[in-house]
Amino acid sequence: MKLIIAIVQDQDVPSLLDDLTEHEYGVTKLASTGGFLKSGNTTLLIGVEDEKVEHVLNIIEANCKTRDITTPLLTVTMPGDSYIPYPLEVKVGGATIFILNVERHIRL
Amino acid sequence: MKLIIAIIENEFTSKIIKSLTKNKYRTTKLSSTGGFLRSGNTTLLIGVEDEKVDDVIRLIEEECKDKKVMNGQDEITVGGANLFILDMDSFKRI
Repeated sequence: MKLIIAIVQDQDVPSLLDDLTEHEYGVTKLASTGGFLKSGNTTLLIGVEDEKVEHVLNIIEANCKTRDITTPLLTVTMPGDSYIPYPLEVKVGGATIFILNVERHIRL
Repeated sequence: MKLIIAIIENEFTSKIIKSLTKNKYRTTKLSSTGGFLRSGNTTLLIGVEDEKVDDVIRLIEEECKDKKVMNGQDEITVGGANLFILDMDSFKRI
Protein backbone atom coordinates (compact mmCIF):
# COMPACT_ATOMS: atom_id res chain seq x y z
CA MET A 1 0.00 0.00 0.00
CA LYS A 2 1.28 3.47 -0.87
CA LEU A 3 0.15 6.94 0.17
CA ILE A 4 0.56 9.44 -2.64
CA ILE A 5 0.84 13.03 -1.48
CA ALA A 6 0.29 15.26 -4.54
CA ILE A 7 0.63 19.02 -4.33
CA VAL A 8 -1.18 20.51 -7.30
CA GLN A 9 -2.42 23.90 -8.49
CA ASP A 10 -5.96 24.86 -7.56
CA GLN A 11 -7.08 25.26 -11.17
CA ASP A 12 -6.29 21.60 -11.95
CA VAL A 13 -8.12 20.17 -8.93
CA PRO A 14 -11.72 19.88 -10.21
CA SER A 15 -10.80 17.91 -13.31
CA LEU A 16 -8.28 15.80 -11.39
CA LEU A 17 -10.78 14.97 -8.65
CA ASP A 18 -13.39 13.93 -11.22
CA ASP A 19 -10.89 11.74 -13.02
CA LEU A 20 -9.70 10.07 -9.81
CA THR A 21 -13.18 9.42 -8.42
CA GLU A 22 -14.26 8.08 -11.80
CA HIS A 23 -11.59 5.41 -11.39
CA GLU A 24 -12.81 4.88 -7.81
CA TYR A 25 -9.67 6.16 -6.08
CA GLY A 26 -10.26 7.57 -2.63
CA VAL A 27 -8.90 11.10 -2.35
CA THR A 28 -8.64 13.53 0.53
CA LYS A 29 -8.12 17.18 -0.38
CA LEU A 30 -6.31 19.61 1.91
CA ALA A 31 -6.08 23.34 1.26
CA SER A 32 -2.44 24.42 1.37
CA THR A 33 -0.17 27.32 0.42
CA GLY A 34 2.94 27.20 -1.72
CA GLY A 35 6.25 28.34 -0.31
CA PHE A 36 7.75 30.05 -3.34
CA LEU A 37 4.97 32.07 -4.96
CA LYS A 38 2.95 32.17 -1.73
CA SER A 39 -0.03 31.25 -3.90
CA GLY A 40 -2.67 28.84 -2.73
CA ASN A 41 -2.48 25.28 -3.91
CA THR A 42 -4.00 21.95 -2.95
CA THR A 43 -2.55 18.87 -1.32
CA LEU A 44 -4.18 15.55 -2.17
CA LEU A 45 -3.79 12.37 -0.14
CA ILE A 46 -4.42 9.27 -2.23
CA GLY A 47 -4.09 5.83 -0.69
CA VAL A 48 -3.62 3.12 -3.34
CA GLU A 49 -2.44 -0.45 -3.76
CA ASP A 50 1.18 -0.67 -4.96
CA GLU A 51 0.31 -1.83 -8.48
CA LYS A 52 -2.12 1.07 -8.98
CA VAL A 53 0.46 3.77 -8.24
CA GLU A 54 1.55 4.10 -11.88
CA HIS A 55 -2.05 4.46 -13.02
CA VAL A 56 -2.73 7.24 -10.51
CA LEU A 57 0.44 9.05 -11.57
CA ASN A 58 -0.72 8.94 -15.20
CA ILE A 59 -4.08 10.41 -14.20
CA ILE A 60 -2.38 13.19 -12.26
CA GLU A 61 -0.04 13.90 -15.16
CA ALA A 62 -2.93 14.05 -17.60
CA ASN A 63 -4.70 16.68 -15.51
CA CYS A 64 -1.86 18.84 -14.19
CA LYS A 65 -0.01 20.47 -17.08
CA THR A 66 3.09 22.60 -16.41
CA ARG A 67 2.50 25.99 -18.02
CA ASP A 68 3.93 29.51 -18.00
CA ILE A 69 2.29 32.47 -16.29
CA THR A 70 3.53 36.03 -16.12
CA THR A 71 3.55 37.34 -12.58
CA PRO A 72 4.64 40.84 -11.50
CA LEU A 73 7.73 40.41 -9.35
CA LEU A 74 7.13 42.45 -6.17
CA THR A 75 10.43 44.29 -5.87
CA VAL A 76 11.28 46.25 -2.72
CA THR A 77 10.85 49.92 -3.71
CA MET A 78 12.84 52.66 -2.07
CA PRO A 79 10.87 55.78 -1.03
CA GLY A 80 10.58 58.21 -3.91
CA ASP A 81 11.29 55.41 -6.38
CA SER A 82 8.50 54.81 -8.89
CA TYR A 83 7.24 51.25 -8.92
CA ILE A 84 7.15 49.62 -12.35
CA PRO A 85 5.73 46.10 -12.24
CA TYR A 86 8.37 43.90 -13.83
CA PRO A 87 6.60 40.97 -15.51
CA LEU A 88 8.37 37.68 -15.01
CA GLU A 89 7.80 34.43 -16.89
CA VAL A 90 7.31 31.76 -14.22
CA LYS A 91 6.55 28.08 -14.83
CA VAL A 92 3.64 26.90 -12.68
CA GLY A 93 1.23 24.00 -12.76
CA GLY A 94 2.54 20.49 -12.74
CA ALA A 95 2.43 18.50 -9.54
CA THR A 96 4.85 17.68 -6.78
CA ILE A 97 4.35 14.08 -5.74
CA PHE A 98 5.62 12.22 -2.67
CA ILE A 99 5.02 8.48 -2.51
CA LEU A 100 5.18 7.01 0.98
CA ASN A 101 5.05 3.44 2.12
CA VAL A 102 1.98 2.64 4.17
CA GLU A 103 2.55 -0.07 6.75
CA ARG A 104 -1.06 -0.65 7.60
CA HIS A 105 -4.32 0.69 6.20
CA ILE A 106 -7.38 0.26 8.44
CA ARG A 107 -10.95 1.16 7.58
CA LEU A 108 -13.22 1.44 10.65
CA MET B 1 7.84 5.89 15.74
CA LYS B 2 4.69 5.84 13.58
CA LEU B 3 2.60 8.58 12.03
CA ILE B 4 -1.09 7.78 11.95
CA ILE B 5 -3.01 9.74 9.35
CA ALA B 6 -6.68 9.39 10.25
CA ILE B 7 -9.32 10.70 7.87
CA ILE B 8 -12.57 10.92 9.76
CA GLU B 9 -16.08 12.30 9.37
CA ASN B 10 -16.55 15.71 10.93
CA GLU B 11 -19.16 14.60 13.43
CA PHE B 12 -16.75 12.15 15.11
CA THR B 13 -13.88 14.63 15.29
CA SER B 14 -14.54 16.37 18.59
CA LYS B 15 -15.19 13.10 20.44
CA ILE B 16 -12.02 11.54 19.03
CA ILE B 17 -9.82 14.51 19.84
CA LYS B 18 -11.24 14.64 23.37
CA SER B 19 -10.51 10.97 24.00
CA LEU B 20 -7.03 11.22 22.40
CA THR B 21 -6.00 14.21 24.48
CA LYS B 22 -7.46 12.61 27.60
CA ASN B 23 -5.05 9.72 26.98
CA LYS B 24 -2.16 12.17 26.41
CA TYR B 25 -1.87 11.64 22.65
CA ARG B 26 -1.05 14.80 20.80
CA THR B 27 -2.76 15.30 17.45
CA THR B 28 -2.79 17.86 14.63
CA LYS B 29 -6.15 18.51 13.01
CA LEU B 30 -6.42 19.49 9.34
CA SER B 31 -9.75 20.28 7.73
CA SER B 32 -10.10 18.40 4.49
CA THR B 33 -12.58 17.43 1.81
CA GLY B 34 -13.49 13.97 0.65
CA GLY B 35 -12.96 13.24 -3.01
CA PHE B 36 -16.03 11.12 -3.62
CA LEU B 37 -18.85 12.95 -1.88
CA ARG B 38 -17.01 16.27 -1.83
CA SER B 39 -18.20 16.49 1.78
CA GLY B 40 -16.04 18.02 4.43
CA ASN B 41 -14.07 15.71 6.69
CA THR B 42 -11.11 15.97 9.01
CA THR B 43 -7.57 14.66 8.75
CA LEU B 44 -5.71 13.99 12.00
CA LEU B 45 -1.94 13.56 12.20
CA ILE B 46 -1.00 11.53 15.27
CA GLY B 47 2.62 10.67 16.01
CA VAL B 48 2.99 7.77 18.43
CA GLU B 49 5.57 5.23 19.55
CA ASP B 50 5.23 1.87 17.85
CA GLU B 51 3.75 0.07 20.87
CA LYS B 52 1.04 2.72 21.32
CA VAL B 53 -0.38 2.39 17.79
CA ASP B 54 -2.97 -0.25 18.65
CA ASP B 55 -4.12 1.76 21.66
CA VAL B 56 -4.77 4.80 19.45
CA ILE B 57 -6.61 2.67 16.90
CA ARG B 58 -8.81 1.27 19.68
CA LEU B 59 -9.60 4.81 20.90
CA ILE B 60 -10.59 5.95 17.43
CA GLU B 61 -12.62 2.81 16.80
CA GLU B 62 -14.65 3.40 19.95
CA GLU B 63 -15.81 6.77 18.65
CA CYS B 64 -16.35 5.89 15.01
CA LYS B 65 -19.25 3.93 13.60
CA ASP B 66 -20.19 3.46 9.95
CA LYS B 67 -22.71 6.02 8.81
CA LYS B 68 -25.43 5.71 6.15
CA VAL B 69 -25.45 8.70 3.81
CA MET B 70 -27.85 9.45 0.98
CA ASN B 71 -26.03 10.28 -2.23
CA GLY B 72 -28.76 11.18 -4.70
CA GLN B 73 -31.20 8.31 -4.50
CA ASP B 74 -28.85 5.49 -3.47
CA GLU B 75 -27.78 5.03 0.12
CA ILE B 76 -24.12 4.35 0.77
CA THR B 77 -22.24 3.66 3.95
CA VAL B 78 -19.50 6.13 4.73
CA GLY B 79 -16.61 4.59 6.62
CA GLY B 80 -16.29 6.16 10.06
CA ALA B 81 -12.55 6.46 9.71
CA ASN B 82 -9.77 5.70 7.29
CA LEU B 83 -6.35 5.18 8.87
CA PHE B 84 -2.95 5.15 7.18
CA ILE B 85 -0.05 4.10 9.40
CA LEU B 86 3.35 5.22 8.19
CA ASP B 87 6.75 4.37 9.59
CA MET B 88 8.72 7.44 10.65
CA ASP B 89 12.47 7.78 10.18
CA SER B 90 12.93 10.22 13.03
CA PHE B 91 10.86 12.58 15.12
CA LYS B 92 12.15 15.82 16.57
CA ARG B 93 10.50 18.22 18.93
CA ILE B 94 12.36 21.49 18.92
